[in-house]
Amino acid sequence: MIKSELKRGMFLENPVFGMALGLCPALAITTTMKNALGMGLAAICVLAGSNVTVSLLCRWIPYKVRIPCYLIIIATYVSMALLVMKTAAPRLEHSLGIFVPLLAVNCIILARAESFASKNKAGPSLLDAVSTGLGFCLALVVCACIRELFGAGRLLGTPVVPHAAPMLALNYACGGFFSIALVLGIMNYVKLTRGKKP
Amino acid sequence: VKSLVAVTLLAMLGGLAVAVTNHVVSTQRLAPATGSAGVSVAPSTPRADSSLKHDGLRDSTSVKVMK
Repeated sequence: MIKSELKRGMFLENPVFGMALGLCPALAITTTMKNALGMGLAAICVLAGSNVTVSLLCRWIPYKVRIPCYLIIIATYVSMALLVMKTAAPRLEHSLGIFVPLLAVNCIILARAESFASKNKAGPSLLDAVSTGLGFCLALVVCACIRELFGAGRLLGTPVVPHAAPMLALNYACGGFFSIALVLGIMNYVKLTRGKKP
Repeated sequence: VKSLVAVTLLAMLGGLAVAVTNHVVSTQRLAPATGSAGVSVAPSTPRADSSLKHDGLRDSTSVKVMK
């Protein structure tokens, strides 16, 4: 069950490449692998905390005000993650900028709280949060890997291809679109060759 | 009224959780700045500037004496 759930969240229903959710941070912060890993870890923590809290509290939350309540829960976890990040990794927090606070209105986190955590128990909600968060983190890391390797000739800050001419366009905003389009195209091609709908 | 109470309670709980995290994190952040006796280290920039000025004055005085 755990394996199939992880496979679903990471590959079959990947939030970025499968459902096209959370594209804003995927475009903006994937210039380096460090940024992508930091953002992915923050998203996993916030998703796990908010999903478990929503599943535990959903029976006491009135249906009419469920979305504001979910937003308050998510914003609490985002604030906590931001405070921890400011202390543990201030450089990372500085380079991620506004995109960590913007996790509070991330559609992936709100969608999982509304569609899964509010209808299931804490255990399955935690598993769903981890699998979806890992899928988001994987998507960010793949995009960042392409952009950092071909845009700067580096991986995690270490020079990998020092003498090759870098594709500077990948370091700019358009590079995010190019990398996401490339990975989406490859994924759709693989799905088509396996006889599935893209 | 029930909805209002639910939202208010959640906001208060969220605020409390953030306040506790802030307290824990701020104590962690202050820990390396304090010395072994718990005395915080003062910034050294003004002292460095004044010592530079003092050295400059002393140098000029010694030059005058030499002449």
